[in-house]
Amino acid sequence: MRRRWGGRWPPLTLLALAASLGAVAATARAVPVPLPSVVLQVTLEPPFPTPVTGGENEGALLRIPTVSDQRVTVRVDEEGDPFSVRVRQRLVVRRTGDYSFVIGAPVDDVLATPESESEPGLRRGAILWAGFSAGRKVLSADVVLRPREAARVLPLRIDVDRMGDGVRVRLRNATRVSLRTIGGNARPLDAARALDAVRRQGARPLASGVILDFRGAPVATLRTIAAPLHVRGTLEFPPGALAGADVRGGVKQGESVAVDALLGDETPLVHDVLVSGTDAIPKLRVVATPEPPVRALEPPGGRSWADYVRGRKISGRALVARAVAARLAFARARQYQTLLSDPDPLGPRSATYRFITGERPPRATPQQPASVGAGAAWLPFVLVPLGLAVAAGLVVLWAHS
Amino acid sequence: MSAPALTQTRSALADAFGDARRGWARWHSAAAVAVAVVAAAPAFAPDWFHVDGVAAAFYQALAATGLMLAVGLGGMPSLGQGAFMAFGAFGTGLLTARAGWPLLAALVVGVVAAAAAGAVTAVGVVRLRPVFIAVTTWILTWLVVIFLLAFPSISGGAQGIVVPRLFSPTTHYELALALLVLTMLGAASVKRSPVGLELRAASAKPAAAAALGVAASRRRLGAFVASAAIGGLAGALAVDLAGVADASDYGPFRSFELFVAVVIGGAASALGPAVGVAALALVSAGGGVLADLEGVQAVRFEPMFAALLLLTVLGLGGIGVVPAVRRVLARANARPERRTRGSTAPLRPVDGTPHLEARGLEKRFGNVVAAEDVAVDVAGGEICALIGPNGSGKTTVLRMLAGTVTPDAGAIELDGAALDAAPQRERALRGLVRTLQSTSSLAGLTALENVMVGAGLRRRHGGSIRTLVASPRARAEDAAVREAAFGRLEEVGLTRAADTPVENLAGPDQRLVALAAALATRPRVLLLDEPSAGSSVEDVERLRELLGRMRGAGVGVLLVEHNLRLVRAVADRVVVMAAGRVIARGSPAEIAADEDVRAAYLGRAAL
Amino acid sequence: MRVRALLAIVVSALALAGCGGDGKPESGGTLTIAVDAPFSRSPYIGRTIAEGAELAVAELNAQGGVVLGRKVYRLKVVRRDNELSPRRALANVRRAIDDGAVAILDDGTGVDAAWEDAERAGVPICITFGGGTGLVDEEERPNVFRVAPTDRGISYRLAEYLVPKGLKLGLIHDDTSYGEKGGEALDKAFQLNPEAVVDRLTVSAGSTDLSPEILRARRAGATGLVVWGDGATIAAAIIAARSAGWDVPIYAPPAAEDPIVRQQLADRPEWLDGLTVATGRMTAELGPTFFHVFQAKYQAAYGIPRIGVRTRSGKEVIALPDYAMYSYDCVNVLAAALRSAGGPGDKLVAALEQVSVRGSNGDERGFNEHNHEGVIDDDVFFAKFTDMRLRPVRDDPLSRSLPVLQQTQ
Repeated sequence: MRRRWGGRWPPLTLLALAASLGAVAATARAVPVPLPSVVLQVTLEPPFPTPVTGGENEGALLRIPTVSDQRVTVRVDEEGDPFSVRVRQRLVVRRTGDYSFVIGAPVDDVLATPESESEPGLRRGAILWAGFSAGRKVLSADVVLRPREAARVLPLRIDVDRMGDGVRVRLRNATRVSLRTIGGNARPLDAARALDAVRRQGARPLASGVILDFRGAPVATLRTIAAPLHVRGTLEFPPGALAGADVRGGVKQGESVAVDALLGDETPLVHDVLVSGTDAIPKLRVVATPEPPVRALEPPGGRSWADYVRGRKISGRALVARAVAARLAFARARQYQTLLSDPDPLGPRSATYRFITGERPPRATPQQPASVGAGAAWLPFVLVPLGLAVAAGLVVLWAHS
Repeated sequence: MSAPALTQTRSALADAFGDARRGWARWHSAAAVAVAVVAAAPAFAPDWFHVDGVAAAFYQALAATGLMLAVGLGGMPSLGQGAFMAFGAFGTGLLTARAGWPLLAALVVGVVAAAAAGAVTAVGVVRLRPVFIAVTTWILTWLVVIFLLAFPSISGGAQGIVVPRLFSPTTHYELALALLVLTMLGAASVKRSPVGLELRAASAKPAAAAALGVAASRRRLGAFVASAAIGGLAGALAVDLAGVADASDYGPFRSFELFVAVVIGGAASALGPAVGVAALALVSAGGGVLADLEGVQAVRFEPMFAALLLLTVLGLGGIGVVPAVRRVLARANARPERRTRGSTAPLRPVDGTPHLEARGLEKRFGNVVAAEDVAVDVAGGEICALIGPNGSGKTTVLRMLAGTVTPDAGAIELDGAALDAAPQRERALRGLVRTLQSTSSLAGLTALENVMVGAGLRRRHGGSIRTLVASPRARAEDAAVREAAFGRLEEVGLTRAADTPVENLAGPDQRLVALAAALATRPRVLLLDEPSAGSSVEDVERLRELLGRMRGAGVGVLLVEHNLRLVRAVADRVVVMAAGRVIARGSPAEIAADEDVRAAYLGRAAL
Repeated sequence: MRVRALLAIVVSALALAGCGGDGKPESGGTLTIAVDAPFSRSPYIGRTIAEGAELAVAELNAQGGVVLGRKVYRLKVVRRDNELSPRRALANVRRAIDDGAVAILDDGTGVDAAWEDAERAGVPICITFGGGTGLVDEEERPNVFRVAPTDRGISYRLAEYLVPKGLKLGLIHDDTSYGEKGGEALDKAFQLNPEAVVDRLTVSAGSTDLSPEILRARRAGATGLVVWGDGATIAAAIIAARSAGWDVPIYAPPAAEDPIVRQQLADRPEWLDGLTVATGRMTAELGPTFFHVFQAKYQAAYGIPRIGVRTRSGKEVIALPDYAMYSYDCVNVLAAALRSAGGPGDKLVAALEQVSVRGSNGDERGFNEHNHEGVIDDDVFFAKFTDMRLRPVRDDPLSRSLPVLQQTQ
């Protein structure tokens, strides 16, 4: 039977057309996009940039397999402001052959540690290492940095203030940065799988990377990220100062307050320790360690994100954002694992930042020039007559000889 | 200060200035101007005038001038001045660099160390003959540099000892120039002084000088020590200028270079060493030019040119540049010498009556009996002649009496006091003086200076220090000695020859000068050994007259002679020796008639 | 009207372009580099130092000189003989300063005495031969630098190389300054392994017969000898050992490269085989091309440095210009520092710590505030004589990475 629909498409046809169009549309908008690399240099610093001096940078062009570990010791005053920054940088070169590289830093001085198998060189704004490695060579040095320039790159800011009848120690993750990165939408399951891949690969720079099929082209978006910082330590008070004091944000342990906080991994970037009932300023002994994001990648109650999204209505866009943010957090944490650069951008690295309260050294007063000859002015008045008298005596002696 | 002291001081100063003004010659003014110009040179010198290089040359000249005291005045050819410079340099350098001493104190120690080293060396070498002095000091130089190189902990090894510099090069320049000028003036003063005369006398004829009572060993030791001390001073200051004490710098070549400079410039002249250093500097500059032309290192030419220059000077007589120039100038102003005619002026009489007695004198040389049981006596105012054939022992007896030979047995008394162990100088001081068999005049000195050596025996104010400062007493004594010496020359009739170098006089006149020098010592007994040898009849006659005047003055004379005519004419008594024994005594007539004497000695000759 | 205006504009523009100079720097004169070396007492050392410097200077001048600000300067080398005397060396340095030298290349003689005068004048001294400890101290002597293997580096590498072999070593050094300092360096290097040393001996330099000393070492139980002295001493030690039938391995510092060693053993080349030399490497990991280029330039300028001996197959053996390379590199570092500083004086001394150049062997050559040594200790390698030529050893990681260099004509 032939029926005329009066110009209208039959419903099934419409449906089939829509489905095929949808399929076509869906197929056409799946854009595979690599998520940001964990070795991405999110900001210019850290590490401190390497000056261009010529040939030493040749090492940077050829990767020198190196393991890097840095122990940063920051001395702060009673208010938490840094006045001394030293880094013990330990590099283990793992190759047979020459090595020659420059490490840029606002360096005042550098001294090899006893375990170092070579001596570092020092130039304006740079540390030099050069030599031959027979397969494994330890290069270790204590680096004294100019505190003002080094302090602005530290991952943790500490502020110690008197508040009311107590003291507040504010620990702030200073690694936060806003940057333009990719955003977009993807199928929730694809995004979940990407998240699982991010979680699996962690901070390994040599891993294959994570590619996510975006729905449509990725868009530029402004995102704020930070490197998670694990801050642990103690605030040491003078004896008796904590008697009757109330502590929040920490645990009173005798004469000190223990602190253990994770800043920036789905947690606030600021942690305050409030001690009321005392006006004593504590001495800080706090260690901050950049760590990879864990909580941000923990699937809620599940083994994996893929499991989590099944059967749930989850925004693919949000999952994409989480995956991108996590990768950037890895990269950001990795940045802070080298305050001083090392010649192997892909090699294993670690860093800790130790903050210790100390006595700020007194400012050196300019030496007053010694008043030259103030006591010698009378000398000619004594020596000349004496000399004349001696001469006269000699003449008389001569005359009688 | 008391008024008399003030008066004396004023008077002494006036005398001194007066003497200086009188003695000031035109060339002194020229020299003063030259020194002033050289001193001012750094202020206006061009770029190629390297102040530090010239200052180093001044220090080299200072060391060479010091060496002149030993070589020129003392007659000791020392090849060890480099070693003494090393003592000064390293003594000072070690104290300033390692112990932080102030320079002045370290300098004193360095100079004292050099002087001490010089004293130790001098004790060993002053009595040696010149060739052995040269060898010994040459070995010393080698030993010092080998020691320094063997102990780098002391010498600093190849890097030397870095010495903190106290003075700027310009200060060193002025200091070195001042020290050099003062040292040259001092050397010239010493040369003219009694010390210098004695040194020159001992250098010219040690035996003759000793016979006049000159303490030659003591004087030479003093000259050697002074030479070493000046070398040490030069070395110490040069090290401060250089900034580093380098052991290889004081090796044998440095000593040789200094010796060559002294010889080239003139060993007997105070100015000579400085001229010698300048000559060597010219040689070095010439060597540099040649080296540049040849494209080799200059250091290869310097020793060769220095040696050639030395050979040239030696070949031309060896007196050096300065004395040669002076000689030429002197010849230009020379007046012809006339023979003197003798004098009849009486001699100064002797105090008291001297008496010399010798008994049982014996001397053997191996198996040869030079003298056996010889007895001799001479009274004041008496001439006793001792005659005998050659080899009879006459000169040996004379030497035993004078103290140059120690008798194996016997006794000698002068004026009743034993002389057995007394050295020559003491015998001379007590009035027993001898003249030598050969011509005993002192070459290199004028006739007056020869006699002044004798007259200087009894000086009390003739030491080095007084001479250097020209003390009033030294100058007064000098004038008195000069006058006394002139008087002695007048006694022998040689006043016109006073300023003539004695070697320019005829032989008999030279013997007369020697006699005058002996008389200047104010002898009580004179021992004359063949004074008429080689004389003409006229000269013998002059001698006879002189001997007569000696007798008239109360001087005892023991005359050893072969001239029997003279003996007969002057002798009061004659002692005859043969084969070491006295075979006859008596008056000339008795001896002439003695058959034994005739047989042993006179033969067909008649006394 | 419009055409006229346009023409006026064009003409004005052309005129303006013609003004303001041609941009070429004007001539500033000549900068002098003094070479203070023992030309008369050690001609080989003096000559090679001077030739390396002169080669670098000729190249720089050929490239137009050194531009400082708006002026271009030519460089000049002046030779001064120090006769191995520190006093003469000090006098040479003073003279060089008076004559306006901007830098001094030195063999090491007299540096202890001369550095202060140079420092006051803002003149850097670059040592290109002597490796003695104490000559270079960046704290005490900020104007003294060195481009040459150090005694410390050589001796520590020797210890590092020899101790694992289990040898019982006799350490022999002569009484020259070079030998004394080398002996001290060896003592320090072997301090941690005293059991490796069975005897220490000092011999007289210039002594032609070292049989007693060699015998004494043999009796002490030595199974290896390290001979630190000048070339003649090394040759004498080899002759004494081999003529006694003792086939002991012998190790020596760079002085073993002195032609005199091969000349003295020309009649017995088999005795020389096996002598192992510790010296600064002449090539880099980048390859031997840089060295070959330098060698070609050096030979073109100064001829082929024949040693006067031949291999067993009759080929003439030539010397490797290692010490010339050091002075060559010194001059190039100086030139780079001059450009960085803008001129001579204290700023030049400071700039020397901040620049690097590509050395003649391909390595980076430069100094820094903590180290005024241009040849790092790691750059010492070992080479063994085989048929009058040096071959890097295979049992040392650095040495086996180096190529064999052409040493015959």
